[in-house]
Amino acid sequence: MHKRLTLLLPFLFIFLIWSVATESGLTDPVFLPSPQATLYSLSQLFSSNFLVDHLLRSLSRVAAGFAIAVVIAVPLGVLCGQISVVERWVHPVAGFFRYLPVAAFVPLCILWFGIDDGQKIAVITFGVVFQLLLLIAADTAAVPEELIEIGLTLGLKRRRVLISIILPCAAPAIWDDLRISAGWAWSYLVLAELVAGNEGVGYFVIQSQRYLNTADVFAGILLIGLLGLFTDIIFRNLGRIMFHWQ
Amino acid sequence: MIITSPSLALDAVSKEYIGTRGRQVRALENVSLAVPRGAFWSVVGPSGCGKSTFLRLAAGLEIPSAGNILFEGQLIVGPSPERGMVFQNYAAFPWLSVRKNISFGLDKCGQLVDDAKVTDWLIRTGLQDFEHSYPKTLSGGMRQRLALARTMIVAPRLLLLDEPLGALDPRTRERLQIFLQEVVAEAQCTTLLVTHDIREAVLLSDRIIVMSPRPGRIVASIECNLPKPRDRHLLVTESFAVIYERVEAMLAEDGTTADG
Repeated sequence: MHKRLTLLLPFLFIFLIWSVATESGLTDPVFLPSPQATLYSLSQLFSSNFLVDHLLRSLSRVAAGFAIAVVIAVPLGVLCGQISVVERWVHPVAGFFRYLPVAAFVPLCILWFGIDDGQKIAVITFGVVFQLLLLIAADTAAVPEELIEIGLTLGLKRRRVLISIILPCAAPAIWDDLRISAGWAWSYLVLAELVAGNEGVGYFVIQSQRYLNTADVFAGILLIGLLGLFTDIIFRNLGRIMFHWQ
Repeated sequence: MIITSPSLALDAVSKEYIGTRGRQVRALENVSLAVPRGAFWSVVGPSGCGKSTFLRLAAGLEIPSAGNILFEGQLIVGPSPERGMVFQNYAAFPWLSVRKNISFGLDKCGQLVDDAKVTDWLIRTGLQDFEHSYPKTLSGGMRQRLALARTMIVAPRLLLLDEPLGALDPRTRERLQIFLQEVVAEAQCTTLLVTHDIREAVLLSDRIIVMSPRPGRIVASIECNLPKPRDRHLLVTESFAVIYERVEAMLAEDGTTADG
C-alpha cells in the first residue's frame, strides 16, 4: 500500500505545479486551463451525450481497426516466424512498410475511404498491422528449437507442432504484443479523427480547440490517456489469468 | 531362417554443417557401426566431437551428408516415435501440467490416452503428487524423469539420450542412472547414451564407443560385459576399474594426437 502511494507522488507534484501556475494568474486560461476546470470538463463529458456521440464511436473504430490488424498480423506473423518461405516474402515487405509514416497515409486513406469510419479504421489497421506482424514473427521464431524437436521425435506432424507447441509456447509473448499495439491503435485513431471527421474523441478535441474551450481539449486528451491505460490494465490482467503457468 | 537387422546401422556416415561465416564444419567422418537390438551403448568423446550430431541423425532430426543410416533395416528419413529422444536441457512444455506433459505424445498423435498408463508413469517417476503442477515448480531431477516418462510412454524401440543427466548434481545423477537402467531393462528397447561421464558409460552400457575430436571418428569400441543389473557397488570393483581405464586411455591417447 505504501508503495502504491509513493507511485502517486510525481503525479501530485505535477498537479501542484499546474495549480500554482494557473492560480497565480501568470497563465492565460485560454492556453492553460486550471486543473479544476479540466476535471470539471472531464466530469461533464460523462454527463452529456459525449459518451454516445463520441466515445462509443471512437471505441468501435479502435476495436474494428485493431481487430482487422490482429486477424492479418497473427497468422502471418506466426507463419513468418516459423516457415522460411513465408519469412522471405513477408518480412522484407512488412519491414519496409512499417517505416512509411502513418500520418502521411491519412490523406490517401481519405481519398480511398472517404471521411467516414472506413478511413479511421484503415489508418488504425495500417498503423498497427506491420509492426505487430514483425513483433509476432520475432516471438514465434524465439520458441525453443528443443520443444519443437521433442514434438517431432514424439511423432507429431509439422502442422501439429505448429498448433500444439509453437502457438501455445509463443502465446504469452503474442498477447503482450497485442497489448502494446492496442496502445498504438488509440494514437492512430486520434490522428485520423483530428484530420477528418464529425464524431469521435479526436474530433471532440479539435472542435473544442476551434471554440477555444481549452479545458475540454485537456479533458479529451486526458480521457484518451486514461482509456489507453485502462486497455493496458485489462490486457495485463487477462494475460495473467490465461498464462498462469508462467 | 529370419535374419534380424540391427536396431541401428550406420554405413560410412559423414555429416557436414555450414558453420559461422559460411565455413564448412565436418562433424562426423566416415562412421560405421551396428547396434544390436536391445543393447545399451554409450558414446563418449571430447566436446564438439559430433556425439550429439550422431544422435540427431539417428533421431532423424538431421540427414547425413554422406552414407546411410538405417533403423531396423529401413532408411531413416525423418523423426518417428519409434526412435524416442531425451534432450539434455530437460525441457518440458511449460504451459502443460506434469500429467499432460507425460501424455503429450499419445494425445497429440491421435492415440487414445490411457489414463492408467499415465498414472503408472507418474508413480514410477515419483511425480504422482505433482501431476497437476506446472513444470516450473519441478527440480532438475524431476524434470528429467518427466522427460524420460514422456518419451517412454509412446514405447520407442530405440531410445536416444543426449547427455540427459549432465546438468544434475552428483547424488540426483546417481539415483537417475539406476532409474534409467530399470526403465530401459523393462522396456527392452535399444539405447544409445551420449555422455561426458566415463563412470556413467561403464555403469550402464554393454559397449562404449570412443570418438575423436572433430571431425568425429570412432577410435575405439570397448565391450563392457559386467553382470546386470548394476548398482554403485560396482564402481569399486576391479573389473569396473579395468574397463574405466581402457576408455580413459583411449580418450587420453586421442586427445594428445589431436593436440600435437
